[in-house]
Amino acid sequence: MLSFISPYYQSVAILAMINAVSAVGLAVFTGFTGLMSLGHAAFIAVGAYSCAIATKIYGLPFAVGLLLAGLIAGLTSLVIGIPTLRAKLRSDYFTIATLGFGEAIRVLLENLSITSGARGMPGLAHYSTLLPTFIVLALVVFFTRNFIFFRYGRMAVAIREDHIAAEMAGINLFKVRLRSLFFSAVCAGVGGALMAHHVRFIQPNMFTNVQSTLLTATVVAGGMGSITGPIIAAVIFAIVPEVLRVAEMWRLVAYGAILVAIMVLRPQGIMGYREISLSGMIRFCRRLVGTGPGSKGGTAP
Amino acid sequence: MALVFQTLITGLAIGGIYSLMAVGYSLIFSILNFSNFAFGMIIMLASFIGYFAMSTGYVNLGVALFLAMAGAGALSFFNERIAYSSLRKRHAPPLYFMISAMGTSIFLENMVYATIGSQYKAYPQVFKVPTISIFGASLGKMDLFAIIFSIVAIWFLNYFIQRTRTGISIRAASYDAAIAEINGVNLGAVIGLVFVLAGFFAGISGIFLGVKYMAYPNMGWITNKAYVAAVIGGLGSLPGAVTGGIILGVLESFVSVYISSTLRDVFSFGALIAFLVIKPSGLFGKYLEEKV
Amino acid sequence: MTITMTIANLSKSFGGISAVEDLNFNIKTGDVMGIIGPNGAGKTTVFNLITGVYQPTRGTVHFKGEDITGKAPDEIVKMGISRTFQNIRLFRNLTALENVVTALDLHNPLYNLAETFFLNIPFVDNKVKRAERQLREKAAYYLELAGIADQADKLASSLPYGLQRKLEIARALALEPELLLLDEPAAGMNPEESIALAKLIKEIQVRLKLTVFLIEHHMDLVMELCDHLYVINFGRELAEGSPEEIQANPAVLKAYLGEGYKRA
Repeated sequence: MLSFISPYYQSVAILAMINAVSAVGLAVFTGFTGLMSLGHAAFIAVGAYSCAIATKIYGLPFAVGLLLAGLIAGLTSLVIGIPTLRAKLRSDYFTIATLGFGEAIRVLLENLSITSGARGMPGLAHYSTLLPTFIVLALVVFFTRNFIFFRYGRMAVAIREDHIAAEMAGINLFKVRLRSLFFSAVCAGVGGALMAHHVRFIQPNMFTNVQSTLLTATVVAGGMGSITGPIIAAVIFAIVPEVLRVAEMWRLVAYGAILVAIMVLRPQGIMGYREISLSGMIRFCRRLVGTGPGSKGGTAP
Repeated sequence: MALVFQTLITGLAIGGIYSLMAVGYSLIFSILNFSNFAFGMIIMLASFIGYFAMSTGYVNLGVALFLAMAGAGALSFFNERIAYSSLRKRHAPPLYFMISAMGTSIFLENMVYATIGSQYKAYPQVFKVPTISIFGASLGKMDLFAIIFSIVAIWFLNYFIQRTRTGISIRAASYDAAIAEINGVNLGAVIGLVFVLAGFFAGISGIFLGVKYMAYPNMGWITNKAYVAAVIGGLGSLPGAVTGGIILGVLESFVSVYISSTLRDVFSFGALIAFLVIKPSGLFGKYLEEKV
Repeated sequence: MTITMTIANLSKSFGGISAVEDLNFNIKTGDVMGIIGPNGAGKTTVFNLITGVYQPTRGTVHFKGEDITGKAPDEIVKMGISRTFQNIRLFRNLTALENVVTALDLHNPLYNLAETFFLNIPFVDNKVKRAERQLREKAAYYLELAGIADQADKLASSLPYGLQRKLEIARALALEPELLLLDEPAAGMNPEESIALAKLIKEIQVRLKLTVFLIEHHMDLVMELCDHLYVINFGRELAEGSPEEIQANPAVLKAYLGEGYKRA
């Protein structure tokens, strides 16, 4: 199936989709709730290891591994989220705490026996092929949409916009922020699990600050307050470096420059607060054809 | 007993450097009220400046210190002008500052990877006989020099901020930037100056870290300790930064010797999170509510 | 006659400097009560103490007979107190309607977390969609109450100042309060506009059977609207009474109304 696409392009497409899964998760947290995490690499790592251990050591099916990855990454986020979010820390204190937490998790992974320490886990099965990855991405996008554009997401957005006014609208800051963090960590965990079974080898030093930064760059470039924006950015960030064949470190140099440039020149990113929706696309196509309500005369039907 | 004393001495030596880093980081925090994640990378670059200067063979430690301070001061200044000043002018939310800082940090770090490479660069030896003995414990001469130099530098900074006219402007601006500006403080200039001063401290700590641990692009790993130290002491407080740095250095030293050196960083970051949750104002600081 | 709120010995100091000291008053159910005083007298501090933004150093706040001192803001809102802010705090990147919908969620939990995750399928009519339609209709009603129905789809940040204030009122009403706190609702308005606003507030108050407690500097509005006034100066009680009594009170005239004040 899908074998008409060359393995190389398949691999790029899979990578783009995996990045999109984690980026959507971070978009919920940073773009919609307004908090920054430098510890998301830890949730990706926890997800990757959970799934790898589930499938390789316990022989569980991939789908179960994915669910476990999401669940365990989510629970891990509560360890840092409950104390820090309950204390209602200033947003930058929270970010520093996640930075520390991310590093602490990595050190733990390097020293646990079930993760085989710093040597890592090679020889994982190649489960993250095109179709399963696409299905997971579609599900993540579906759940994210349902979460963020309705009642529960509205509370998160209200906090991002003005946390004092949000509290005064009866919103419990702790609960809502924690819920966003949990959701976001679940997505990161699932992304990590997909990654583990795409690269087929995991090692603690794959999950450093750099990963967290890349995710943030994806969300920021795509536009904070948007879901489709970060997905577009994830695809661009996967394809462009492949096409240009640039070395990893030059990519990172570029991501750094992009982050600063966006903040200085265009903080709304590609999509900022807007979405490409299915109904919107249908309207757009109708307008192109000239039959939609938005069209002004033109071709007669 | 001798081991306890030795561990303490070792802890003080590294704690002194943490203090220097925390002072610079805290200075910026006190005036812009955000966490400048790019600061660690300026320390790293300063360390490379020192290395390249000293490895030419023509330059002694004093001149290298001067060059690193000047270079880091300039870098820090341009860091603010490029990445933060326009955000400040349009009153962007703190999240934007942090993202911009993070971008600067990843840019600088990988610029070094891409141009200089990832190798560790060892400084030439500064002292022929590198250690002296105090009550049976050995202390690096370089460490001793670093501690003394740090004390002098921090004393100068404190004098400058407490006693000079410019220092008063800095304090006024860090207390309330808008009101200071109305009262004739040139905010742009004061903030520029604070970044230069912070850069000086980045320069000093960069050299001392380089001599102790060599210069390498991944140094941000150690420089992150500046945040930890500053939080323990109380963000925005100078005595807090010094105390926090020393406490952190000694804590790490004891954890490495008596518990496990691999778990050292877990303890540091555990202490960070514990302080943030239990006492976010740190030992000396006042807890600043976010300006919404 | 019933009492909605009782403030007893309410005091707050910041780092040893006292902001308000020993305030005592009642707010009668169905009244429009005003709190007035010169700038910096501590009026907004009183609001912040009532709504849980600050914890009082001393004293208590009772709402409908229940002690609400020290409760978190979101709990206090749930009990039926909502407010507006002196320096407007809207959800700026949301539309006017969305601002109100956000507030409606508090007392209108029309669907739960599992339902939003699993039932809400695009292009298919479902419980969540129906609930959202219902919420938007209800939100439109509150916008209409505040006289800004035609602004529903504009971004909050794009509205002119006066309309932003009205949107804040609409959002506060959507929290279905019994006691509404208004912090300088007429700030920045000219005398005609503030009289019009007074009429609007009165209308809303009667229609929704609210008790209103407000801070205001526009004396025309205060005298037009308030049944009862509480005057503070330097954080302490200066006088209390009907608008007529306050207008005749020499201490108040001296401290606040100024030498040349005449009722317009």
